[in-house]
Amino acid sequence: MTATFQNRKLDRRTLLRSATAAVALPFLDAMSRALPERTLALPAEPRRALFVFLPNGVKLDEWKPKADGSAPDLPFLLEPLESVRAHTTVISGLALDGGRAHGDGPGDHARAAASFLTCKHPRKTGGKDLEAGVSVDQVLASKVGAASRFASLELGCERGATAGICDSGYSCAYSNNISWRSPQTPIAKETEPRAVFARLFGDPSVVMDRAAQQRQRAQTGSVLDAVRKEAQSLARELGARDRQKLDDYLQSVRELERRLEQETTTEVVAPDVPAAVIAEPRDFAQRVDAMYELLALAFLTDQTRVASLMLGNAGSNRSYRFLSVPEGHHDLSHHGGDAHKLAGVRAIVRFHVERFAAFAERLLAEKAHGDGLLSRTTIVFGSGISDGDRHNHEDLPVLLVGGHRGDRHVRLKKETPMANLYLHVLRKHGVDAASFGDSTGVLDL
Amino acid sequence: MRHPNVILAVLGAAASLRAQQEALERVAATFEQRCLECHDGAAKKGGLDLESLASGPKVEWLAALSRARDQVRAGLMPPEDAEPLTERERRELLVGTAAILAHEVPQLPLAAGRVTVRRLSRAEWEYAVFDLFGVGTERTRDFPQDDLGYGFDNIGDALSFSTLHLESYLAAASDVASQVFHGEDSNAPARRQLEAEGMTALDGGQFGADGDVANLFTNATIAGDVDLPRDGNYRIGVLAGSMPAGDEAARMTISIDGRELCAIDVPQRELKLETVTVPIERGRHRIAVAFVNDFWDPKHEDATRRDRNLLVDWVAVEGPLDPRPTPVQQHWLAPHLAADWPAITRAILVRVHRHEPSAQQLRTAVEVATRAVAAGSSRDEALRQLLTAALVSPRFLFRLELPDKPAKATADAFEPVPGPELSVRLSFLVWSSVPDEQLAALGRSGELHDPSVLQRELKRMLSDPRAERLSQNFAAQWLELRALSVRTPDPTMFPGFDEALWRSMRRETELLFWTVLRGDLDVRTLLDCDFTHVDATLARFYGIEGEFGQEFVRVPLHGALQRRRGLLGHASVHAVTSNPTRTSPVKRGKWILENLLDQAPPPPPPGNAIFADEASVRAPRVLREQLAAHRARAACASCHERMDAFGLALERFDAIGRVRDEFGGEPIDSTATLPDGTVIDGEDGLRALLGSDPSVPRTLLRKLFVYGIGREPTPSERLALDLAVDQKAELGNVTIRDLLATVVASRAFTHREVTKRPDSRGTR
Repeated sequence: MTATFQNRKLDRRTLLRSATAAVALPFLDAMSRALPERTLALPAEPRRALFVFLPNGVKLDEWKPKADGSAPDLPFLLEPLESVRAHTTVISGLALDGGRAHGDGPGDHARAAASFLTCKHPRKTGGKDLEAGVSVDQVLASKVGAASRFASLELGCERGATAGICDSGYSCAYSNNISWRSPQTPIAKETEPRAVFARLFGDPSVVMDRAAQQRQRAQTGSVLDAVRKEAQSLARELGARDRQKLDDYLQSVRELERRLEQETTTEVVAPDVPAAVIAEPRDFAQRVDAMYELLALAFLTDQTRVASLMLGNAGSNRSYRFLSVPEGHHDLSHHGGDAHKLAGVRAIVRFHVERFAAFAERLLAEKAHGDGLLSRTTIVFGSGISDGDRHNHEDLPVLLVGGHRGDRHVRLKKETPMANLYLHVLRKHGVDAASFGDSTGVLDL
Repeated sequence: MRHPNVILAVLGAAASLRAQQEALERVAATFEQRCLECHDGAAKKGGLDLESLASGPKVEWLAALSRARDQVRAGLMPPEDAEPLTERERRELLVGTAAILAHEVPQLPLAAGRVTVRRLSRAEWEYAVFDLFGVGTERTRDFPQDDLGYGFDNIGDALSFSTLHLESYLAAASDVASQVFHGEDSNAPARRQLEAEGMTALDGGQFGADGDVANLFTNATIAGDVDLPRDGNYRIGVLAGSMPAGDEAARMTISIDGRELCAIDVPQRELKLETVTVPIERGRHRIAVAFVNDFWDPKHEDATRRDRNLLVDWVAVEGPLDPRPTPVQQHWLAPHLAADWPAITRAILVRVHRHEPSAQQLRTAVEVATRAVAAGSSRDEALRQLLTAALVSPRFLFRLELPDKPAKATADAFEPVPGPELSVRLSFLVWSSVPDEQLAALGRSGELHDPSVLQRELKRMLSDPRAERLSQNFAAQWLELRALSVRTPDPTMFPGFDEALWRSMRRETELLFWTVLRGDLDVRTLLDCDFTHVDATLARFYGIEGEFGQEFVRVPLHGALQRRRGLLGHASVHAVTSNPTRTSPVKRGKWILENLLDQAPPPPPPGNAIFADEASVRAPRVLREQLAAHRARAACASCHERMDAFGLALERFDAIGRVRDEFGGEPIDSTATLPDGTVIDGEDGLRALLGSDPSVPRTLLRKLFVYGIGREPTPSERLALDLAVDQKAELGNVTIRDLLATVVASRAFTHREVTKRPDSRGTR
């Protein structure tokens, strides 16, 4: 799983190393020219999908366009999307019924995250018998994931809580994850840009020649072979719930084996990387940018076609000091109409839309194959809570970005399930699912 | 009497208590007259209907009885506006209800309960690998974060497993394996040679190449990188010569990471090896050779002495020169190192998998090694692969508790946990790691099932230094100390809150827990004691005078320092319960309710923001006023009355735990009133109040139970745990050791639900 640095006129290793040490370097022109054309060739124009989760809701009056239909006004919070407006659809009226209490009492943040991509009402438990549903990204990954090295990527900008109770009687597993491989198994997310880069393209500090790589692959293969056999025989001895854990283990083994298999036929080529991406991020803004850049690179090099990104954990109480918002995000979101708090929430959401818009622009500019990567990508960006002060799960702020048909504001009938949008996304990616979560039909977009 | 039979019926069920029948009847009468007056099916004051509880499930009734007893004991019931109990009534009620609970609770059907197989948490993985091999790896920092269940990171169902986990475990295991089977031979140390012509000239310098020799024709530095496997002594050698000119010999310096090691004169023309031996840390280092005294005299009569140049053929780094020390933890491995494949494989699997391998398991593992050898690997390389596979195996990564073989046809719902599994439960509870040889042997032989052996082992393990992990792993989670790392106090208002400081804060609290545990002190010492531990960082922060270093030392607390007594005086607790810009009495109160009293409040109903104006509440007086206004709302009062009071009593500690008696020139009020009218006067008052609350030791016991068993106690288990701790408390001290002994003795710990073997189809 280590990248090669081949066919290069410059020593790639030296670049990466000096780049990590110094401040952010722009792409080096000489370097780009040295790249053989074929390295960035995209096989067969794949489609990509990305799901982005924003915690704590937004300030809806500055989010929702006043006009419906095409060429809507973009209120303050959506202004940054002006440059990609042709690819942006603002959707109003979606609801996440699974996020509601249904007799389970408080815990809206945990439920918002757990139901965001699953559209299921998660079982209320502090740890035992966790259950939500399979998330839409994983449904997609199970269908299209085999075509790329990573079936899916799960990234986050914030590590999970390290102590205490995350949200009233809900295990932290609900608050910290949006991707669920099975109804019992959330997928842990990666939060360190450096580690994500190393996973995708190899550790820049380790350079191996082709023979050493093959040798390492063979060794890993041999280890995986042994542990797979062991897990299979173990699974026969265990009770049902424990077997579930072994199944998760086995599935991971198979996924790694598949990746090794693929690596023997397809060379992994490390792209040029701005230093900031693989350096330890100095602040949160840098971390967010790094994650977006890594996603762009992963899509660009076809390492994966499906990804999810948690900009923060559910109920995140991060302080956005670099925006002059020293208070915690969650504390602010319980604004009670206070102008000071609302201003804080507004600044935070605006920041996130700006960074997201920059990412969309980056994809748009990536014209290796004609009309830009963005037109072959579907991005759902949104929050599982509409207003942080009301903890409501209807009229959610949701953007559908990518493809060609944008520049519009679609106002749906109240209570249209979020799942209907996901069915639309699944169809668009060639997955002909009859239903998903609490869907009542396919959103016609 | 309106309800002549309800209470008596239940109390009377305590058959062996017939001798006390008379006393019990009096208790029943008191109970009916004084409690049912308000809490019957008709009045249901405070939502409590003792009448219907008495005829409902017994466990609920006993739980209600236990709560009622607490209320009477604390003087909260009967309420102020009712006629007080006579001293005799009160005493009889307390003794009587205690007797009933003591008799009834042990008869409740107890569930041993299923515990989902648990993946090792990151901390457990690190401890286990350290205990097995005495090494660690930085790779663990890339492990995905373990999700928490019930506030702990060792709850099976919350510990997910995904491809990312497997990748991280592979990388970490292979790093560990390469440290254990390092293949180093101190008689023939590894040598890394950098060819000079391939090295990089630094700072825009230049050099020429004469064949494969670099010619430094002007002052220049050439450099290259080497990766060194561990700390140790290394010999740096340079094969160098010169083209002499002028009066001086050519001078060469050798440096590492920009630090000059030596300057060497190189007078001769022919190439000669110059060496320097230095200690170097593991990792990547830049080795540089520089030519520092260039000389040029174009008019010199001898054309060969006009230009002074330095010639370098290669630079080599040899080492480590000192033999690699073998950690004591690896001593078990030494006798097997030269054994044949099956023997060494078995030795490794028994330790790493905590179980005797089956013939099939052994075969699979041996194959990994023999295949590697067949592919041309050395013995060490093959062993590395073997160990990597063993460490990535589910038998290491998960705490498996397999059904007993052969499955017994039994009608019992519970069975004793098999010996080896019991030893693993115990070692993970106390050491967060694998059993040592003695414990493992007792598990294998089944002796551990003897309760006295089990308790003896617990005692032995607690006196082992590894038991300190209870403070680093358990206490740091229980008290939320781990969250200090993500706290971000506003640096302009709270300067100095850096990593060194929060680490010291955390350590202070861990050391308090460890001191109470090791010294067999009463658990209430956690709340009030006349000592603490500080290092230089914390001493400076607390304003303690004297000489302090990096080590923590115990210091007495008197005078002004008395305010630091116990948990409520620790900066860690204040910092972890504050907002970035101010203290949060609400969060402090919630922390106390959740972690000390096990009465977690529900989160606020939506749309009930506490403050109208966030910016102004940085002033404690305004904060207090607004909290009071907020409590006036009915929806908020029931929870906030106690929560706010606890937090307000701690207001004389700021958001990072500095003592403050005034704010903006105004003195800070740290008094608070509980719903029953009790006034708490600052942190001293709170300390006294919590110190006498029986909920504190009970809560600690429940938390240890969750941590040790991997699930929450059932209602009947809770009653049994409460009873155990209350009985202990009545006799005197309750120590953490007592609480651990209770957990270990519980049926939940030693037994488990009988699992049906899966059908023969198996999986895939």
